[in-house]
Amino acid sequence: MDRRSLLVAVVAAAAAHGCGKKKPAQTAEHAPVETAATALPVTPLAEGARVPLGEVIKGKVSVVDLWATWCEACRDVSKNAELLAKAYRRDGLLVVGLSVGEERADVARYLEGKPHAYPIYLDPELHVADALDAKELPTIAVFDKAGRLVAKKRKIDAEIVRLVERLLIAS
Amino acid sequence: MGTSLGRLATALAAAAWATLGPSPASADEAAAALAAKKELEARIAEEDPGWRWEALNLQTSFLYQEGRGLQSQAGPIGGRGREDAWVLQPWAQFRVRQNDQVVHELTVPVDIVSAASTDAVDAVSKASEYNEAVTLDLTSTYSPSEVVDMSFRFGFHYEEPMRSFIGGPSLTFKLFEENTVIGLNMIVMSDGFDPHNWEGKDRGFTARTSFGFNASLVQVLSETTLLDASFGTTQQWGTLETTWNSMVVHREPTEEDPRTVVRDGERFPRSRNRDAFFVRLSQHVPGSGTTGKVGYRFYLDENATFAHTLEAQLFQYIVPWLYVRAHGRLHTQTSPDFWVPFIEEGFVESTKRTSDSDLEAFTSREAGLRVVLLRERAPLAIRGKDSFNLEYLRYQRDNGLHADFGSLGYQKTF
Repeated sequence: MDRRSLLVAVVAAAAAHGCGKKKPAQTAEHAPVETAATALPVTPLAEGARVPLGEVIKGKVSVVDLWATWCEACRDVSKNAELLAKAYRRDGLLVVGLSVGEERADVARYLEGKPHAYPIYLDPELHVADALDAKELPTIAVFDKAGRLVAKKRKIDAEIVRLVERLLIAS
Repeated sequence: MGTSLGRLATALAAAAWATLGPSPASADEAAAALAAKKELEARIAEEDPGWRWEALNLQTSFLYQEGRGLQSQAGPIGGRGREDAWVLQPWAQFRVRQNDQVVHELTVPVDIVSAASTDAVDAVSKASEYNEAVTLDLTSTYSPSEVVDMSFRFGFHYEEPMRSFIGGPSLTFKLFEENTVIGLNMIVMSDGFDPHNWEGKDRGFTARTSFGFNASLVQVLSETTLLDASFGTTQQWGTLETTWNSMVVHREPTEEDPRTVVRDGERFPRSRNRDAFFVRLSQHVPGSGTTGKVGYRFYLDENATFAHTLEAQLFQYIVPWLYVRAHGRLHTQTSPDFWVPFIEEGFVESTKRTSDSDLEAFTSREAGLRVVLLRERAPLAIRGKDSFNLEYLRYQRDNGLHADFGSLGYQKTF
C-alpha cells in the first residue's frame, strides 16, 4: 500500500466516524516555524505550471485549507474558509484551498457549479500534506507574511480567527 | 454664524474624506465583509454551544422640553401653564445566548423625570415634582429552524405610584431566503396604581389593561429596495385617565367658595381602541454609501382622533465605518372628541374631558442628526467589536412646546 492509499484509507475510516472529528484538534502552534512545505510545488486547478507553495503565499498572511472531495468534514471547514476569505480579503488575507491526494479532473468535476471565493491548488502526491504533517483532513495551516507556519489545526475556530487578525495587524 | 458652521462642517468632512480614504463605494464592500464575518462567527459559535454573552447595548438619552399647556397649574388659572420638564434615561440591554436555538434579551431602562405631571400638588405621591421609573423587560426567543422565531416577552415596571406587568408572545416567519419576513405579536399590559387626584388625595386602587396586536411585513423588492409595513391595534380598558391631571372648570360661585374658576380632574372613556398603519420604503444607492428611507403612518382613535406622520431618513457613509443619519418628521393630529380647553359652567360630572396638551390638535416637526462609528468595519488596526453613536434631535409643536433631545450610545458584541 503506497502512502497515498494509506492516507486515503485512514481518512476514509475516520470519515465514517465524522471525518476524524472524534480525534481532538491539534493545538495551534503560534510560534512561527520554518517548514519545507513552502518549497514544495503545488498545481493550480486552473491551467498553469506547478509553482512552489511559498510563491503562492508570498508576502501574504495566508490560510491554507487542506481538503479532499470525499471528506465530509472538509465541507464545513471549507465553508468557514470561504467566509474567512470574504471577511478579511480587504485586509490582505489570502486563503488557498489545497486539494490533497486527488487528480485535477476529479477535483474540477466536484467543484463544477460550486463557486468558491479563493484559489484552489492541487497536491496530488501529498508532498505538501506530508511536509505539513497533515495526518488527517481537514487541516488548516496558517502562514505569516514571511511564509512561516504559525498554526495548524483541524478546523477554523475563534482562535484561528483571532490569530489571523493579529497577523494582519502586525503586517 | 450659520454660514461659518456650514463651512466648518464642509471643511471637516473634506478633511475626513482626504485623511481616511474617501470611498463610500467601499461601504458596500465593508458591509459584505462584516456579513461574512458575522456568519463565520455564528458558525463557529454553533460548534461550541452553551451560555454566552452575545451583546451589550448601553444608551443614555436626555430630553429637555419647554412649553405651556392647559393642564398645567404652573400658570394663570384658566390659561396655559408651564410644562417644562427634563428626562434622563439611561438604558441597558444585554443579550445572552443559551444555545444555538435560544437567546434571551434583557432590557433595563431607567427614567428619571422632572415635573412628570406639572399640575399635581399632591402630598402623598412625589410624581408631580420628580419621578424615577425602572423596568425589567425580558424577551426570550426560540428559533427551531431558519424560518421561524418564537418569542415571549415579559416584564415589570415600577413608577411611583404605578406597578405594571407586561407580557405576550410573538412569531416571526422568515420566508424565501429571508426576502420576506412576517411578524405577528401580541402584548398585554396591566397597570395597577393609586389614583391620586390633582389635590394629592389617594382614592384607593385602580387598574387599566391594554391588549395590543401587531402584524408586520418586511419585503425585499430588489437588491437595493426594501419595503416594510405594519398594522397595530390596541384596546384599553379601565381607568385610562391620568388621575392627577386636572383642568380648568368655570362655575357659579357659592357662599363657601366664591371662586368662579377652579380645577377638576380629567375623565376618559372606560375603553379606547386605537389603530395605526405604517409603511416605509428604503432605497440603497449602490456604490455611493447612501440609503434613503421614506415612511408614512396613519393613526386612528375611536374617539375621533386622526394623525398623519410623514418621515424621511438619509444615511450617508463618510467612510466605510462612519455614517451620519439625518432625519425629519412631520406630524399632524386632531384632538379626540372629549378634548376641551376648559369645562364650561353646568358640566355633568360624568362628562368625558381632558385638556392634556399631548392630545390637543397640533402639528409638530422634528429634525435630527446621528453619527454612528462602527468599529467592526474599521481598518484592522482600529477594528473592534463595538460601535458608538451620538444624536441630537429638535422637536417643535405649533402650540409652542419644543424639546431638545440628545443621546449617546455604545454597543458591543462578544
